[in-house]
Amino acid sequence: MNFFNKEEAFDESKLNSDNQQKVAMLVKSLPEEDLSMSWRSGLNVKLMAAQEAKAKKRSAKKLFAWGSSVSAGIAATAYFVLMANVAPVVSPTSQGDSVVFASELVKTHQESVVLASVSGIGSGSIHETSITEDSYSSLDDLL
Amino acid sequence: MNANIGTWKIGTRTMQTRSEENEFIKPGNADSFAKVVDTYQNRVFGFVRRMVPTGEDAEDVTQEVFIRAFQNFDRYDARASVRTWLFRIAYNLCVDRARKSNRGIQQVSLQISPDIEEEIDVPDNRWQPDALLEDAEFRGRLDKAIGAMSEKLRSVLLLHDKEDLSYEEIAATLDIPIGTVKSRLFLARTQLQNSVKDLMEN
Repeated sequence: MNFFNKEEAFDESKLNSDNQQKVAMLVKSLPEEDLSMSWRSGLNVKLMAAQEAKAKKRSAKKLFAWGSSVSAGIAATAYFVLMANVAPVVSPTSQGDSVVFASELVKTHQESVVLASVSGIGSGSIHETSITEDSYSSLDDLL
Repeated sequence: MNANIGTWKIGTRTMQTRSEENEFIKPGNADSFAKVVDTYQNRVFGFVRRMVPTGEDAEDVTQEVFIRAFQNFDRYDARASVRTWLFRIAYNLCVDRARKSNRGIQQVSLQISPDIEEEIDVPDNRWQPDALLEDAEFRGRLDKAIGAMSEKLRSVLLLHDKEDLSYEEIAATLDIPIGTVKSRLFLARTQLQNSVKDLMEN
């Protein structure tokens, strides 16, 4: 809005008056000044330097991008290798066949249930005592 | 309706000029850029020469203009006018240089005192600018008067009257409204006329 207002505000006919046109012709007739060959040679040298700098900048960017991808690749590989090495230690599968392990657990549980039902109350405590004695003996060994 | 026709005409003319002047321009191509330098180096220098104090400064700034242009040439939009683009870079560099040398841009009042609109009493048959400019004293006074103007007035005067840029191109180059271009041009011419009035009458 201001743009058009300013444009309309100025009376363009003023620029076409004789005086204004005379000054315009005077400015138009000002002598041209040519640049020397040495100036152009100097410019060419600077342009070549600018082109080299541009190329270096581009290759540095490429190198950085390549380096970043390689670093990311190495980091990812290292992570997977590390995880692969650590996983067998913590995984239950490393302690043997999981099916066998589960069946052993079930078997032990069933035996203890049968033992409890056959011997009744009290025999469990004898059994527990025997275990405790075993534990003491093993503790003595340790001490 | 008329305004629309006017805009269309201006637009068409500008488009033709741009397509002609940009025929050889291939952004990012070094040979194409060399042609840009060949075509515009003297025009840019002519403008810069009158915007900075010394010839040496002008040569440095003109080189800087083309280096900046080269650095951004692969991003240059070939639909835009190359000379507008170059003059814009040149103007910005000249202003930067003026700021650095503490010759800050002066604010110019748009008020014109009545005495500077006096007629120059020179008969038309004697009006030969080329002949006037052969006079060393006259040329010296004229250069001095242009050099004494603020950057704002000087840039508009040189771009319009010397470099033949249209109002629209100057507005795009200096990033100002067209109305401001016209009023600055009027002020600049009036100021110049006042400075050399006595020599022109004699």
